[in-house]
Amino acid sequence: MNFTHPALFAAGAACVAIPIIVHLLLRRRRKPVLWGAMRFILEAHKRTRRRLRLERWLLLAARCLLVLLVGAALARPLLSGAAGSLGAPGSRTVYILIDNALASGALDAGAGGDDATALARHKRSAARVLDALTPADRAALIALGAPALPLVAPPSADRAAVRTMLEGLQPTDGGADFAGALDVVARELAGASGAGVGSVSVVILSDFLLGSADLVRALPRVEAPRGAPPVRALASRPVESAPGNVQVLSVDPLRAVSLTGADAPLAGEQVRVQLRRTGAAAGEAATTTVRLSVMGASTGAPVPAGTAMVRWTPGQTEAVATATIDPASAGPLGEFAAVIAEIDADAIGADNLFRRPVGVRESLRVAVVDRRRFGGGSRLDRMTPGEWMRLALRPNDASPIEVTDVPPAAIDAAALAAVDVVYVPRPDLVDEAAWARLRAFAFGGGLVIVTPPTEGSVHLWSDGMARALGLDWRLARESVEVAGGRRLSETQPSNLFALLGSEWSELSRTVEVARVLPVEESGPETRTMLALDDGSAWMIAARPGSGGAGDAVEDAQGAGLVVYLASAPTLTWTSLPAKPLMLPLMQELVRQGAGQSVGALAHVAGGRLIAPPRATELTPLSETRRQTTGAERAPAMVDSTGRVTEPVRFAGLFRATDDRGATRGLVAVNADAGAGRTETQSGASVQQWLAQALPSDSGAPADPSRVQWIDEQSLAGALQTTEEGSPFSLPLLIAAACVALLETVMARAFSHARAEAPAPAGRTVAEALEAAA
Amino acid sequence: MPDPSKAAAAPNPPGVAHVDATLYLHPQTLARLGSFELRAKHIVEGVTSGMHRSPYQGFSVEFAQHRPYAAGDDIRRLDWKVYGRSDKLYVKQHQQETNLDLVVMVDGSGSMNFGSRLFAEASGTGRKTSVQGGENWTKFDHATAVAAAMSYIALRQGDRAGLMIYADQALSVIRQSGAQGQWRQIVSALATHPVDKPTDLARAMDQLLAKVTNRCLLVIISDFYTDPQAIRTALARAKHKRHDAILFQVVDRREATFDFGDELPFVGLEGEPRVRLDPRSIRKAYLEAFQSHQSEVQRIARSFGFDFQVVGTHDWLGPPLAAFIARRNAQIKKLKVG
Repeated sequence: MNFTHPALFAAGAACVAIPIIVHLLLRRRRKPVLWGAMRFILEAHKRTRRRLRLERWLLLAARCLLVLLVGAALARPLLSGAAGSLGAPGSRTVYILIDNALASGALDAGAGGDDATALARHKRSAARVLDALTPADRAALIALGAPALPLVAPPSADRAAVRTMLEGLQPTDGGADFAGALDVVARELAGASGAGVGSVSVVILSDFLLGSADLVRALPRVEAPRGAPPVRALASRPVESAPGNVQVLSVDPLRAVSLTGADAPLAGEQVRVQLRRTGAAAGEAATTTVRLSVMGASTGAPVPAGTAMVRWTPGQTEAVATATIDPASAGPLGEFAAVIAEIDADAIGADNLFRRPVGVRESLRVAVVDRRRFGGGSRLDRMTPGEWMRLALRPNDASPIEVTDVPPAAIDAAALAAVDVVYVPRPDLVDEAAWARLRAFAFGGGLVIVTPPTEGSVHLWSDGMARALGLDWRLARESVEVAGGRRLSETQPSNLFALLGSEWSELSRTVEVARVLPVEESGPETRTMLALDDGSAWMIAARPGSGGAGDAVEDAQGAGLVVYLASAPTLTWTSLPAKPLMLPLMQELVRQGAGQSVGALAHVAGGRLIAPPRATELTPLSETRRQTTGAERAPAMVDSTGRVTEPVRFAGLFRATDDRGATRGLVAVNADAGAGRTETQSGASVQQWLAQALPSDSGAPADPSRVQWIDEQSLAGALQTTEEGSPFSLPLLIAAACVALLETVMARAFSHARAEAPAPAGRTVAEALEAAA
Repeated sequence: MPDPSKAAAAPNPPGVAHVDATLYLHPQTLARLGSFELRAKHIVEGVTSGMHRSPYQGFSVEFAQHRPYAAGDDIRRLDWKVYGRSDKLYVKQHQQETNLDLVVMVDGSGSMNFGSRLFAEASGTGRKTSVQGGENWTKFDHATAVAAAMSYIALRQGDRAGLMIYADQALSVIRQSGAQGQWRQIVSALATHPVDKPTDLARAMDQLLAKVTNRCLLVIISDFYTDPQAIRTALARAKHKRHDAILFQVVDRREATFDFGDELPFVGLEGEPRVRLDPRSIRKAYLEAFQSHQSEVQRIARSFGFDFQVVGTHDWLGPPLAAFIARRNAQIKKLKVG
């Protein structure tokens, strides 16, 4: 049996001793009476002994029982076992949502060891909830580590199984998926009947740090089944202080694909490391050392490759460190490598490490999808876009970019497998099947560059392209001649061209645009890479599938990139091909664009991974950690669309292999930087946020008071109180009242003080005897 | 005839401890008893002529009856006038008057050492403690007063008086005598402190009957807190020896009311085990047992034709004792006339 207020029951149990103590105190030492007529006392005592003993025990038992019942009633008992199930008004269903996201692994201030983390606290609270349940109750356990994982769902009466899952729970490296967890609860309840679930409680155990609870994100509504009481939410109170945390936000090599070759990989490459610090420590001056290391898919351990220092000023929250990979340390890494940045240990360890895959190539291969032109002259005004592109990408034989021609009719998987970039200057010649192959190529990480064809005035090919690549672009049907010509905007271009940043203004100034096939509509996932001086987009880019429509099998984004340049790179459309900007712009577009697919292999824990093309399995390389429930990490399987079948909740570096065991690339999973933010949030705002999930009958705004705070000690009691109150308190109080009444009656009946009035003084013996007779 | 006031001033006989008789015989009691004579309800055999009828019919002044002469009869008792008229030999029988032998049996057992009345209040002499130093007027003190009063009456009317103090056996015996100083001897003997032994009335009675040859009036003064069967046995033996008996049961008022309050330990005066109890809880049963026992003792006494009188330690001895003796004399006169 458990109690809502165990201390009250303990006090009540201790008070049972009061009647006994009173009884013992009344047996104080008295001067004995020397009595002559002892035979009559002994005779009377012998006659009444059993009855008096019974009366005395009954009175003592009634008084002890009275105190015990009052104490037990005030302590609000929570019966377990058969008695509890029989006495309970109905079964209860408790959904335990436990935060095991990245921030839950933060050590509590001033504590140490695994037991001092927020998750350990939450696990203890969850165990108390399970202790308070009766066999008639059912419990579900949902881990909030993104994506929310229903460890025990539907709710089960097997509390031992729930407890086993709870004990093996580990903090993940992702964020907390409150919406996903509540959605699981909502779906469970939607399919249940009111009589089946009884009263429903959702117990949310979290510190509600900024990294865990995104109060901007809407929560799904959790409605009780028809006939069941409204769903009640019990939440652990948000913490008021949290430890500081420094995290590595990103590691960005200046070029995602290193064309230094396998013999001297990454040598001299610059790496940009972005750091952020949160929590109370952000207000102090500090120094953080960033240690770089590199490792290949085939090498065993990371190789140190340099350091960088970040000096924080008070109040500074973000900083960038730039380091150059030491050429001496970089040995042979193979085709697939990763740059790893690590900082000193702090409260949250998972976000102190960031892994970034980089490609190591001898050269990049670009396919130009165009009809072969025979007999073309060398006049500049007659050069096709493909020829301009070839010239820009491979100005001489020493260029590490190889350009091949692929006729539109020859676009097949084999041709695409041999290239990193596909340039489509004649999209009007690409049929639907070819677009489908290009879609697969782009989803697999390839870069597709599309420019409008110079032939024809009506462009109907764009719809097929957008549909096939899963883009929400809508291009104009006809090209537009720009009167007087347009220049490029001098504002800083996209990060893709970051290396051109310092010279951009000078290079872009000379470029004129005479004709464009403008972008009429694009989705929010589309980035404007370059713009004209009137603000209109000239070069846009998006990941395939970002539009959510089209022929894509699934709505998830692909790993590659699709770039659309609104003007064909010919002199009739723009002066770009003849300007100095052409060569660095196309070089950077290809190099960085191809690297985007490599960069896409750096994922955030909790999301679904995209594997390199033709990969079938991801094998963890390092930092092997345990799964959510404590099982050893197993290789992640890749489905036919190139995606990992199960979400990966833990950071690490994976080697992607195909069905023959050959390495297809490296995939990095990093801790969710946003989930590591340790700023606290106010209880009122959290209460308001959680209340969204509790619909009101009248459609009124969410009532925050329906979310009840609980703490570790009174959690079980609060659960009982908010549900229906202790079902045994009232009967116990009634029983106590009955016992009190019975005790009064017995005390009066057994009281001998007034049974026989004492003889009045002055009465003679004869009179006394007559009175007695 | 002894005078307690004078006896108190007179020196004690040799071998008799000094005792103030007024401690036990209140002047008011003596004044009450002075006009009464103690009469044996049965005819007693006395060695001196007195006011009591003797069962031995012989030479005396009061004619009783005639009976036919039998060989061996004293020819001096022949009634010659009858012989002259009827020519038959008849012997005249006369009622012999004899003195009363009074033997007072005082219970000296432990239970008699109980008393709830202050000595100073009961003695009426201003003394606050008894001879033994007790502050309470015990049942034994009261029994002593009754014994002194009864022996005083007997000696005053010229009868002989004796004393036996007993518990589980005879503790002290003073043979019956009518001599001067007998009353003082009796009172001195009564100064004996009670012992903490139980009562064995039958054994004491046996011891007494072994020493008494003539028929006596036995005054048994006790609380009779013993087995009624033992009382019956003792009285039966006395009856068998054709003694008359008066039973005075000395009862303390507290014993009769048992009005105690809170829980108390009780310790028996005759070696009974200590028992702690709430007196209120057993009061009813106690009084029932007490009453039942007393009724039983009274019934036994009455079954043998003996008188039974309850005297309370809180009551003045004179009025009830005088009333009892007066009632008894009236009964005897009625028997005599009848």
